[in-house]
Amino acid sequence: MNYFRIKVTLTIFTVLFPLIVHAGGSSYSRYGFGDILRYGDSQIYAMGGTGIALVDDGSINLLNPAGMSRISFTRFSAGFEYDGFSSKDSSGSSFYSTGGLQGLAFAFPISQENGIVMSIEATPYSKVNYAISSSNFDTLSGSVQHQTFYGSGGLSYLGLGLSGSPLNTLHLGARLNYMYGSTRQYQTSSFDSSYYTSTTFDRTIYYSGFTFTLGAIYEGIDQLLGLPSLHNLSLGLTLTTASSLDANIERIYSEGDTTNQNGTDDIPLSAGFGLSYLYQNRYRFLGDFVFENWGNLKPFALDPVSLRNSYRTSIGFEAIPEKGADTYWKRIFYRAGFAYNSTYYQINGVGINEVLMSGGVGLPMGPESWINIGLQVGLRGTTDNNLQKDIIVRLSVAVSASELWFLKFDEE
Amino acid sequence: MLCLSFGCNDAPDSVGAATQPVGYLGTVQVDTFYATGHSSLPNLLYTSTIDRFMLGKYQTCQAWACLKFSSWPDSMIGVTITSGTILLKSVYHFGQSMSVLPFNAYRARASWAGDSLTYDSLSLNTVAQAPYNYYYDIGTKYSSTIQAGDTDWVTIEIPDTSMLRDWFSTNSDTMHLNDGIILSPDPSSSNVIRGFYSYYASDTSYQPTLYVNYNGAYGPNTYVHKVSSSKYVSTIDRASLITDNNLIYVQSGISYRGLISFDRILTTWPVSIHRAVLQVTLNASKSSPQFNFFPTPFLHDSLYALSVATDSISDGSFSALSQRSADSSGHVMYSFESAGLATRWLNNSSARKVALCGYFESDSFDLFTIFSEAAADIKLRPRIIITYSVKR
Repeated sequence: MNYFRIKVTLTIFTVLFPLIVHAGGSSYSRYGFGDILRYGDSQIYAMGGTGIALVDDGSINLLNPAGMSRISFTRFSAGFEYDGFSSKDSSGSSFYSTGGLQGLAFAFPISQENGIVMSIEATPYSKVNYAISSSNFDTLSGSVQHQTFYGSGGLSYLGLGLSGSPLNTLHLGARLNYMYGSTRQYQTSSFDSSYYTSTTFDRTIYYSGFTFTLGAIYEGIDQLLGLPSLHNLSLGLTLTTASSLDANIERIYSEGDTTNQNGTDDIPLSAGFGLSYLYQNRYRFLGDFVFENWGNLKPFALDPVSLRNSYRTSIGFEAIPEKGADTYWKRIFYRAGFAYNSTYYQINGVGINEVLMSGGVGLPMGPESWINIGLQVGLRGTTDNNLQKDIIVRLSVAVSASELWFLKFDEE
Repeated sequence: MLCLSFGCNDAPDSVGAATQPVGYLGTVQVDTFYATGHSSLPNLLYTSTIDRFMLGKYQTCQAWACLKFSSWPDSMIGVTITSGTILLKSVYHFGQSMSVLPFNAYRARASWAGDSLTYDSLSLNTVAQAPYNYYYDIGTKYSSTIQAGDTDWVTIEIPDTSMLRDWFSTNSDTMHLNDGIILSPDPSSSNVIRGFYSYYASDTSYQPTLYVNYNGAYGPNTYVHKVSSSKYVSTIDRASLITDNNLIYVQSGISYRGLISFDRILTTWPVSIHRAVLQVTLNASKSSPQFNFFPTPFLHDSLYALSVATDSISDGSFSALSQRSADSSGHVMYSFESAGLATRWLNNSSARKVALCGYFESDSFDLFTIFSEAAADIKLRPRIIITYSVKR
């Protein structure tokens, strides 16, 4: 069997496969920019999205650009994610699923001695996916009105990052993010009575703008505090600037009218703090805390519901194979994580919270190359106050490969 | 993996509907907007393609008929014509049904193809003087003795056999601009406008028929010719029609159309319009059944609502036929499903006006008098009831 061909085919498949899948999700994603995603790369994904303080040669840290400084070979990462939402409220339950590209990133080491690595990435930032129907007797028209609402889209960003290590123990990074995308809501309305005309309403909001992410990872805490036992402890910080995105709302009515309205929508400041501890070079423990002040934003195009400040706490664990492991199974990475997310949704006066457990493996596919499989299972929301509870299942399959993966070796 | 990625359900259901904010589920609103102005204006009447034409005078209404023949046979060229008659079959009357109908027949001169000819043009013609722009006298006068309603035949004698010979000839001189006659009522004694079947009558035996008596190779004979076209032009004295400026007059047969303005309608736009109903109320005491000295019902008890470009001219983008009903006080109301019209008003595709005209307005002389925005009782005013929802 030609393993080289398999690898190339797998890479193409991973990139193209998301194009053929379709939509569905939680009605909460109608608000704000939709569900805010936290990918961070396939390795981080399986650890509950934890990795602000992670510096590793084997992955491109999308959470903290400083985390790229140890990359020694050109690296490529692409993933596909399947989402399943089982939702219920007082009216019943439903299940929706969707899939899509999770991210695409390249990192190019420029100077290993100085930790200078450049990256370019395309990553989803948020996702809107819902389908809701409603039927009510309307007393004014004297007829039952049937409505459906379909939501789709989301924001992504194109990032251009750079890392550097001014000290052996200090890594810095910066990334310019071009935010772009659109969210769409398509609405239909019809009546049982033939007197009333069925109507449609199609609203799409197009966004564009820039944010800037700064990151730092410090690995010299043991020296700073004079505690050798903290030798493998690192501290990470990230800060993403707030931004006012240009927003253009296009509304298309069934009568044929189209209106356009321009304005801005705010993305808030995001600040993150993380810790990473590597025990005996075999076991990595991580913890993150991220805060975003959504509660202060001034919505323009967003639905006028009250958002709130969000914070996300997570922990992660990774079991790293022993160097020189002689069997395939011993070279597998094992990962797990847990996250608690106080989301920015606040519906009917109730904040929507989410808990998430995750796990995954990194299957070696060649030199410095892995197929990372991650599973996240979570709960979000409540059925109190006419809200809905979501059971979330996410499965990620991603390729994280270095340039070595594409080289032909004699043994192949 | 493939099975998973294609999902299980993309049909929407009610889960999550309660999480939508108040007002975002497309709450239906109903608002009534009343007319802010009106007028009654004349309009071009299309009469050349209907199954009847009108002739006569009633009060200040006058209708002149134009009738011409075509597709002559070669066999009649050069025969000796001894006499001719034209038979017309009655189908309708407006005015006093028992009244006689005196009229004059003139030889048509000018072409009046289509609907370009108007009453004003015809009335400028002076019968006894050149240049006889439209017609000249052929010495035929007629006074009907019809007293039995709308089913009698009228026979027009044509003493001028030279005119008939010209019609049959193949000479292409200026006289062949129109092989027909103009019929004008005697304004001094007519008290009825009568309708006659045209060539478009579905029953061919009712079509206008020309009988020509001639002496042929085998002796006296009669040639029968039915191929014809017709139209009528009409007028009314405006002052006698519009006697109350607070009312809207819709006069068929003349084509006076009511024009109603709605300057104050929805301030929110765009919205999704689910229904819009235009309603007008009939002032029955000033309408056809009573306007006729001898009350007669409407021939067509229906109205059209038309979108308007300028004045009373329909822009052709919207029309709706009325539905008749009665309000709680017994007033006759005409309702029009007008969602398309309201949409055009709101997106400024049409002037915020609606023209009302009679159903088949060329077919009758029905008069509808409609309460305007000046009516003391707001329930009688023209109004449009719009059912809509605001989309954000």
